[in-house]
Amino acid sequence: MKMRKAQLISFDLGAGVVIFLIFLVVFIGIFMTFQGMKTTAKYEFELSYAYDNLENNLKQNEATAFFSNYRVDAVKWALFVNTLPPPASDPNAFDAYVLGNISNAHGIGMSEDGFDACLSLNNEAGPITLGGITAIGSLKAGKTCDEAITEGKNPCDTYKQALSMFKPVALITDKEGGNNEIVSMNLVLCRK
Amino acid sequence: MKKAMVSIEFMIVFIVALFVFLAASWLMVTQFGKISSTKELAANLAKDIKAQLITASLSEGDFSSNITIPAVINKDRIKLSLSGDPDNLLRIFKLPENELIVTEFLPVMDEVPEDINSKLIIEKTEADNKIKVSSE
Repeated sequence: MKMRKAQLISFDLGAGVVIFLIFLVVFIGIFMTFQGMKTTAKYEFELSYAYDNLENNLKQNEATAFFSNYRVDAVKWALFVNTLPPPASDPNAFDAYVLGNISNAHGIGMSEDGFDACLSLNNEAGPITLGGITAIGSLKAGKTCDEAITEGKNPCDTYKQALSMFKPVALITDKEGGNNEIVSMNLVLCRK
Repeated sequence: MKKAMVSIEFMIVFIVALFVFLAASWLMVTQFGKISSTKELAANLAKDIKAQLITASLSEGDFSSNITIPAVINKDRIKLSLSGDPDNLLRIFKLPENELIVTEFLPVMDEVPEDINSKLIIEKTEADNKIKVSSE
């Protein structure tokens, strides 16, 4: 059958093209929205100052300032652990040292309420036990970082997001320098 | 009127509708992009201020820093507001509607200015260990 000229661009074809374009715009819109959501899932830049903030907060009490200038003092570590209240009475006590501000320190503009922090020391053999514990910090439901790390579990298992940072430090166990070693100080931040 | 002519009229209506739709989409995207980039630039300014305050907070010696505050971002006039302890907040408003576009939590500040002009000065001295923020 011979086709008429006007039938080349029919109503159906026109409507089809318009619907196709609308779907294309909607699809691109949804795609771009998800791309934007991915970007916002990044962690806050302030968290990169967590080690420096911990060091600065520890300075407020020289007797228990176990971490300073890439050095961890084993004796002061043990003293510091003893000054922390039990997790049941103040679960954010250590988090305040990492993200908040202690005494006259000014902090980094973050609150200790949003995260749980765990600090541990590791050498080639695995986690190091100092002052009777392997890790400082407390977690949800009265659990401690020490329990989680001793059991070989991820402390941030039931949290929204986990962030792990490492810093090489000199562990000073003998002031004369005989038994000192370079270890990895691990800071794990679990977003509530 | 022939049948084929109805189809051409429909096509013209659809082309006009499509043109209007695309123009509206373009306008919305442009406007949305403008708003988000104003917010983005204001957020970057807030982060710059926060980074300087964190440096002051963690510095062991004396610290001083000058930050130039733009009056206009992306053709939008802005106004900054600082709240001292215990809030320690920076807020950026878009003028003239006074719309809050950025809120940023800051380290503890011992002194803050009531009004912020074109320059923000952050100072900390080792002797008194206080962060003082002023404006010129």
